[in-house]
Amino acid sequence: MSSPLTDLAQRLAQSDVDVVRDVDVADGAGAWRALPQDAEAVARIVRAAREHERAPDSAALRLVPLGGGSRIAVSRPDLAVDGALDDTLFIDLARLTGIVEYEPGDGTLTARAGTPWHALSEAVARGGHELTPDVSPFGPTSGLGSGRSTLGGVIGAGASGPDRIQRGPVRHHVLGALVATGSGTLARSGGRLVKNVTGFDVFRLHVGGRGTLGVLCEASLRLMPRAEHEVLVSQSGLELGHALEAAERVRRSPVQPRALFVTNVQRDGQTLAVHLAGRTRQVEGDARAIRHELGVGATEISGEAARTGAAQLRDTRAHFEPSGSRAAGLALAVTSVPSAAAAVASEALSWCKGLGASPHILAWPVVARLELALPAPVGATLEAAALRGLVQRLRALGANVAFGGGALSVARALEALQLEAPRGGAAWEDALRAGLDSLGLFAPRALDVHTLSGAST
Amino acid sequence: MALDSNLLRRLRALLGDGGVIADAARCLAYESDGLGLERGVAEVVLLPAHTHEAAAAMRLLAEARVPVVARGAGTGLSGGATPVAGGAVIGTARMRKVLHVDAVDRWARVQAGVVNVDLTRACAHERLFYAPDPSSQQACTIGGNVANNSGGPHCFRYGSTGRHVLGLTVVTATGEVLELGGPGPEDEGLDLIGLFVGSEGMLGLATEVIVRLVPEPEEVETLLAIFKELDPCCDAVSDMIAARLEPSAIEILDKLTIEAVEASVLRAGYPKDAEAVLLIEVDGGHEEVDATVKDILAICARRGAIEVRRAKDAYERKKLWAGRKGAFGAMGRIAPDLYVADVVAPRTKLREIVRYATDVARERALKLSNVFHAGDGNLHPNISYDRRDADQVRRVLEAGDLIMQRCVDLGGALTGEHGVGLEKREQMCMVYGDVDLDEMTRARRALDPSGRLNPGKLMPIRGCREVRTRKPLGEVAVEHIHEQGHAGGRV
Repeated sequence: MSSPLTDLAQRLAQSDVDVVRDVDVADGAGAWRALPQDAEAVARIVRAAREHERAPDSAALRLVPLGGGSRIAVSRPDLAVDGALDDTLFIDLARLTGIVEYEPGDGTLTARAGTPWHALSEAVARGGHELTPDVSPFGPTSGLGSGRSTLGGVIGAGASGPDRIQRGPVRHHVLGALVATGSGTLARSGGRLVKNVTGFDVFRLHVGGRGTLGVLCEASLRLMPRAEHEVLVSQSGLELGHALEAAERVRRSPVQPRALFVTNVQRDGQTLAVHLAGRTRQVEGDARAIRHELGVGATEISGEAARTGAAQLRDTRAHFEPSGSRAAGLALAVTSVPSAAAAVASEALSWCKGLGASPHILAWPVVARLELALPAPVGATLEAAALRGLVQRLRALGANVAFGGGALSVARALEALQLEAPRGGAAWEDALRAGLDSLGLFAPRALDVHTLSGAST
Repeated sequence: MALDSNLLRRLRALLGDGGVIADAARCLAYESDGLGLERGVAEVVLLPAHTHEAAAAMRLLAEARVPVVARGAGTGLSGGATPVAGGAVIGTARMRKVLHVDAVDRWARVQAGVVNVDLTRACAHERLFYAPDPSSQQACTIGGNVANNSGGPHCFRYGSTGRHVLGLTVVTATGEVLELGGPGPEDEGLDLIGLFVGSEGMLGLATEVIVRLVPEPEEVETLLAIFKELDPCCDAVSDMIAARLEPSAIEILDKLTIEAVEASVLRAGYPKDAEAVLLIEVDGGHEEVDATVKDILAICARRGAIEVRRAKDAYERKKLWAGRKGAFGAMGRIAPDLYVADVVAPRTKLREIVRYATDVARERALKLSNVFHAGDGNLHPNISYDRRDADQVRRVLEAGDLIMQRCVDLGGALTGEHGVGLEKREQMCMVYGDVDLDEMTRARRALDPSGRLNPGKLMPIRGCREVRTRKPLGEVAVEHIHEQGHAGGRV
């Protein structure tokens, strides 16, 4: 079967890079997938793609780095909108695995980008450490990968976890990286040190860069000490407003929780859960204070049970985005300053009620992230204009609104999410893309709003 | 090269007479930053009071193709703010307003010229503070901190400047104004703030900064552990890191530093007979502090500390820290000049690198003192010298080079918080290859194609292959002096 990339695939095969065509994969029909053995092979792929792109009469191509595929639907909705992917070469990092360096005495980790997150978690746990961001090791299977979170995928997606209340976002903990650049070179910046200002931190553009500027091949992370003790205090059956108010009271108290959750995914009404982690007596004292604050009905679990409970809450996304039915809904990720969280949530909820829909909610109130998932029937039929009304109202409250997943309405969702005015740094983003990926091999395709409404998704 | 008089007139019309310094004698006050070895005289020093003034001035300078060096308080230690001959300096001395403090969501918006410590003063009544605390915090500015991604003792727990910048107002090389980020969690898009922080004034001029504020801890304990030897003091720190303890600061001061501090007005009560002291601060909830202090005491005892003192009150704590933060100044008693190295080593290698630095200095008959952020592996082997003695300068630079090379060989880096500037420009090749530097250059060219912003800093002038073939070490240092001579700099 011929494709614009057939020649390129053949050339790569000759230079010892395995290339397969996944014709049967639902999400990636027709896409090519290269499986480089090491970082040097990734750079070779980019160089070959550059030659292809420069050759007269050759069709445009797009390079997309791929980890376990668990975040790609959210990170790269442009792929879903395009439909046909026969001009796309996925660079699958499944073979770029393994820990390069883990020195428990130094509290840092360097590993290859395709290493599964759970493997890294297990390795550093043996040295008394844990990873931040606290993210699920498994995501929905996109059909393009194993569904396992990988180091490169987590960093590339800029996926902060609920622990960012205490530890900050993922971008604060990446110490350096080796990147296959748009020029076809392997460039390093930063290092594996917890403190370092030697040179420009170019790698930071790839943290949360969604693979749109190059391929992360290897990265170093600052590790966190595994807590001596953990407790999860929760209370169920709350109104959303009350749950968020209680969360805000916790934020303003001296207690510094590891994470806070408000969700209605597991049962009726909202559940507020406060995850505490740290030195044993501090955690016990904080738990007493939180129970007192929440009053009657607050329950507490501790130790390994608390750890598991918090992980389940963290992963509740899987409940409204289970693999298979994932495509049916629409999820929005809304962030704001903490004090605006209640207003943002109430605005979103009343909009959903107006549609006759009761959304699944997962909020991390202190970091003011709200995920709102509309059930399939509403998510599937929603018009861009209706969604746009909500997006505008939320932005008026100072919130950022982003696509949070759901394939059926990707085009309409993206249309609704288009910004009226470009972001403050748009000119610099464009300049950096032109400078670091001069042929636009990694660039996400610009969405043409006028054609979106008619797009088959 | 004199500036075009028409340009000067337009700059004066824009910024007023108080905002334009063009006479050579007054420009001389700006000839260097804290790295006295590197000097240059600007044609004009501009002091805008607002972002729009800075932007308009930048547009005029862009039109006239004048190079621009940004300057905060001039406390930098790497020559990052050294003026370019024939160019302009844009200082932030008239941009000193704390524009907004939001106590509820814990952030502040400040002008770039706000002095670090003034920001914490401005939010102290809300029981909040700004965490990065360079030793120069009484003078250095938030804008300068952004340019260098500055650290400080408490960055061990709280992180360097980069982890505290939420948003930036940036004037580009062409005089456009960009608003990056904001008080809330980051939006989608590339992490431009992450790239900008620490870019040493080479990508743009930050005129306003939105910073994260941190609630004051419930409890603070300050400990001073006294050691008979420097080695076990270093080992105690490695043990604390290996035990994954999280105090807020872990600092080491050696004997020469202690003597200098105790002989100065900043007398902190450090024991003069000690070979080294560990200054440790633990903060957080009462029980957390209690548990961590117990663990630290056990480690210090195991490593043979002869005594551990605990600050009884805020006054004692302040005194202990004043001694630490004034240590660089106190070194002035030992010799007229101080070479402050800023290397980083993996935290398992502290003892090794400190010992190496000591040997290198001894072999070259140089006076070395150590005062450093041990918890972060960020060492400051300081060499006291007299810059009028050319041979001594040569030996100092040679020692600095060797210490940097050893750190890099052990998996470390050239600088943890002072920046590369002019000082460590050629040594960048120890850490990075041509390919790495090419990518950095591409990023820089993308944002400042003219190359007018702080030209000649950070990036080695020659290709790394060339620099590497010019070994053995030491020749670099010698050539360094010759080059300065040719460029009109004084050593």
